[in-house]
Amino acid sequence: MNDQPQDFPDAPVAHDADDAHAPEHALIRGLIAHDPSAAAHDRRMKALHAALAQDSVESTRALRFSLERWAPIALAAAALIALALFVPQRETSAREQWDALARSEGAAGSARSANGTTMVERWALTLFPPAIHEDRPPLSGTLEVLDDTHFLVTLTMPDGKVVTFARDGDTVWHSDRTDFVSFQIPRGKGFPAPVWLAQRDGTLLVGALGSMLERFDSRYAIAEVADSTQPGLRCLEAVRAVDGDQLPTAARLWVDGDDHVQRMEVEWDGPARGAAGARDPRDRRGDRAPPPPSPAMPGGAPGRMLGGALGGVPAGAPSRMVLERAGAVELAPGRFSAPANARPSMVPPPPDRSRS
Amino acid sequence: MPRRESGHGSGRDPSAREVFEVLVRENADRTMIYIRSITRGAAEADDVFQESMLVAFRRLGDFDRSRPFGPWVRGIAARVALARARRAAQQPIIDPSLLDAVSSQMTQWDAIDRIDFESVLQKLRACMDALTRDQQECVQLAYRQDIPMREVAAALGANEETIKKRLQRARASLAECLRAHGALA
Repeated sequence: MNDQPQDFPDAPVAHDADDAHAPEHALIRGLIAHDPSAAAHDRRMKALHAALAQDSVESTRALRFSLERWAPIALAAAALIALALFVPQRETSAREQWDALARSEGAAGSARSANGTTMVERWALTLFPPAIHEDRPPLSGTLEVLDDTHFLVTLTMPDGKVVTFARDGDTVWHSDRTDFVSFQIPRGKGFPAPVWLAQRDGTLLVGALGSMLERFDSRYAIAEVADSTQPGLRCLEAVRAVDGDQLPTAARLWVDGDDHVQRMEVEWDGPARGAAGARDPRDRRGDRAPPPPSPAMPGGAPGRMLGGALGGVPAGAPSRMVLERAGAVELAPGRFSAPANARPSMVPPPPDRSRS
Repeated sequence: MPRRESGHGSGRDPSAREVFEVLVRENADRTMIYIRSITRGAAEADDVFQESMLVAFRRLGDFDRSRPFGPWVRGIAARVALARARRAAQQPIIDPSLLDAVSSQMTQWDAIDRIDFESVLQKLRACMDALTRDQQECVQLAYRQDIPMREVAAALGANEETIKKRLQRARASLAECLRAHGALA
């Protein structure tokens, strides 16, 4: 997540205390940034309801909270809310939950439209470096995705340069850290289906969340696991149960009470480690092996997001990818389109003067 | 692998929880505005909101019912935000005195109900329409879409200092406009 102070310089930090207008300006910022929609309100309340329902900490002080002293209108409202927010006991298996999420998120990816406005899902994206370079800092950025063929990824390189990787229908384009923009037309059916996968050759492919979830099929053991790192969210984990160096080793989903995936982590590791329970999922660093060599991706790589030429970042797949839902943004015309100065990818980029 | 137990916590008074949810629902918008004022980004704000409400529920017995719920829960949210900032080692850290000052600013809205508060938001929208086009673009990208400043600068073809100035002027204009409409003290 992009939360460095320089990214949000008007956030209320220490130096603002000397500014008489700082509190008022902070408040204005909060007023604007706040999403007042009923959907956001309901999502927040349902998540809270689920969190409260599963909160097993017994508080005797809470029990002292006497309902009798509250106005009858509050009681009536409470009853209505209890009815509206009633969540039935979850009896489906973890696999069924995962598949249902794949279907619902897949449908949502192309149907975010209200009042004639198309909305695009926005995710905060963090990529952790390959295991052999785990001393390097993670890369953060954003992913905006409408569906499998319309998305845009931005990543901030360690030197502050921002690279972009996007797909607009059949056109895939990227801008590298030298601001050189190139595009290429995928070779028909040979183009690999875009999914959220980081290939071993350093290529990152993204797409709609539903498509990604579908990839965690019978080759993965799925379980609902205990996790307290994300309050109010339940956690599903898919652990690879078969050999397959190109496959993610594990994935975890954090799902809110409204059955929306709020956070996702995908890990790439060494050889298959067996079924669920073979390893503590929080032990992400202990047994990682260097990534094996990989054949070139069929159809040509649409963008080597982690390649050294693009950002001084070591080549290789990330060891971990974290996606956190960051709301939806209104789709602006041409949001996914290549800039006018894009060139065919066969044209070599101009010299990178910053490296000389 | 331990499985999480599903279902409701045992022994919790369901009525207390339901009434708590009523209070939160009535104050959720204003609480979120406060949290958005003191945090960076929507995801962080959502996390602070959830964590704050859980803390508030556990401490419900400490709540003085003769006083409004909003300031009490904002105090909890401020402490949660500070604790998270310290854990994340964000530098510079959020200023505690500023958190109190923002909360004091919000007391002007504590007495009005949720429906009436909608009129404040409507006035904000009207005031935003009165901003210059450049300011509107900055506000839309930086605040509504949570896009980092350097990306906003890149998107609008300006440097970061220019974007910061535009945002500062936009905030000042909005404050003046809201005051003129009686939505800000």
